[in-house]
Amino acid sequence: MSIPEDDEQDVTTDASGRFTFRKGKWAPLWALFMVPFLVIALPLYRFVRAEVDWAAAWITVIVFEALLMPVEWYSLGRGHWVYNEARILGPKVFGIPIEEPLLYYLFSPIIIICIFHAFRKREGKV
Amino acid sequence: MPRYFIITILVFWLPVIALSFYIWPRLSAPDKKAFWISILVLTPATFAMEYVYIWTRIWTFSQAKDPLLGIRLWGVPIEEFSFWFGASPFILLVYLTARRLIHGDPAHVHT
Repeated sequence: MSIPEDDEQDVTTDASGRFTFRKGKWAPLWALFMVPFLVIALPLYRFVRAEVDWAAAWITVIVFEALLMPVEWYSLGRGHWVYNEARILGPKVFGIPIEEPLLYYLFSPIIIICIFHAFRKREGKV
Repeated sequence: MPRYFIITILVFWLPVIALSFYIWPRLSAPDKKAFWISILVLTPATFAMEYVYIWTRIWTFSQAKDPLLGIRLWGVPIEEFSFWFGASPFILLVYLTARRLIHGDPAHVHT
């Protein structure tokens, strides 16, 4: 069996019925994995910051956060995915790891929009 | 019922289709080209990232309440790719739509 299918056997439920999974020593990789993206994003941001429509960008972040938070709350409750407690920082918001609203839902749209504008800037020069 | 897959359709893919009907005809050719190049870059990147997250055991899945579709790519449920591949166009189309709604005439948009 593959890693995902092996790990699925180790998912349990706590007293409140929420799915739990813990495997390995604590190493907050979910937060740490954002670091290389931010390292790449900084020069990208500097390259395109004058082109980005920041009002539209922040609206996009708000939409993404507002949509994904309840979706993730629901999906975690159903076990669609189950975080490894040994791979997240620990603090949660409505059962959602804090990395989600503070890192991934915030920076992912900004990075994607900056990538778009980097290619758009190149097209503008053609 | 494969709720996880249904959620990815409802949350990302249906809005992508709906937003496309509105914003795509209003985009300039360079915007459209930059959109597709961005998607071409992001799709394999998110595909690879999923395996990094799985191999480092960031998360797993449970079918105790909702079954998965049963289709996997090297062990990863296809629902994951429906999620990841839907998120990028969703984000870009929301951004482009917001930009259009704020500024109206594309001549007023930064180029």
